[in-house]
Amino acid sequence: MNENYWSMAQKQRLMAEIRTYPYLISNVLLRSFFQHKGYASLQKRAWQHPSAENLKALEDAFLDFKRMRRFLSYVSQTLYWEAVKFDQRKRRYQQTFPLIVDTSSEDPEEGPFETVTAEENLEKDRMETMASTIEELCTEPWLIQAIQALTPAQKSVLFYVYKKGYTLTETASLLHTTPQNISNIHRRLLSYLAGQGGNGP
Amino acid sequence: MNDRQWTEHLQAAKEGQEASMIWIIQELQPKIQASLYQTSSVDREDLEQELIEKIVQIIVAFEIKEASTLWEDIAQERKEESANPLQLLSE
Repeated sequence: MNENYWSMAQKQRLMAEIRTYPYLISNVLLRSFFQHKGYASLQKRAWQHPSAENLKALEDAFLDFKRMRRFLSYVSQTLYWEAVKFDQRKRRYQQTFPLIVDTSSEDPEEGPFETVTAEENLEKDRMETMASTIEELCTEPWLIQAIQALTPAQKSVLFYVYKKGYTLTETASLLHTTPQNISNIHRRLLSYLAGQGGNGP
Repeated sequence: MNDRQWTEHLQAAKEGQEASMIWIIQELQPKIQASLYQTSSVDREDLEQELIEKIVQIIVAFEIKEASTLWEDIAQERKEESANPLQLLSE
């Protein structure tokens, strides 16, 4: 925009109008500039002595004021949304790739690895006990053989449903999975055993 | 005036002056710190780095020149507010 577009008389008249009722200005930026205490002396000078120099000083001050409000507003919004997006990205990543310990440490002094290994051993012992208990209950050789070939999940379902007498929902809760999943495992288990011996368990 | 100081540093930072860039980032530290609460404490250091990088990008791309002057904004204000007493004063 050409700086000479506005004549001195026009600028003086606009200044006189805006300075009289600054609280009636609807433009927020303009209103906050004319109500800003830091610019009061500059406004007063331009108001009382509307020379080209004073009006130019006021105009430059307004441009600085406006520029910085625009910059800070943009930066604030951007920082906020960048932080929100960063957090969403992190959460998605953690859900997709959860932190797990998949190998044991060679150093026996590392506490967390010891704990995990101990828990894994307990789980392994429990599964072995469960499998041997199920097999001990069976008298038919074909059934013992068939049970030995089952997956750990199928053995667990067999143990909880037929030895302990739990429902599929209760079994799902114990094995930290969904009833639908347990139902599928159960159905495949029965189908497999029926195929092996001709009769279901 | 504070706004003048900001403008000068912004201009200098856009021209590649490292000291001005650091001054702006330091001035924006409270905003950066407030944004860090959006994520967990373990990720805040990473987020801070990303936010500083973003600020540098904004400074480089920021358009210093304003689209309208004080007089244009005042004139626009008068035009939009036809029922405003300001207009009556000018007649």
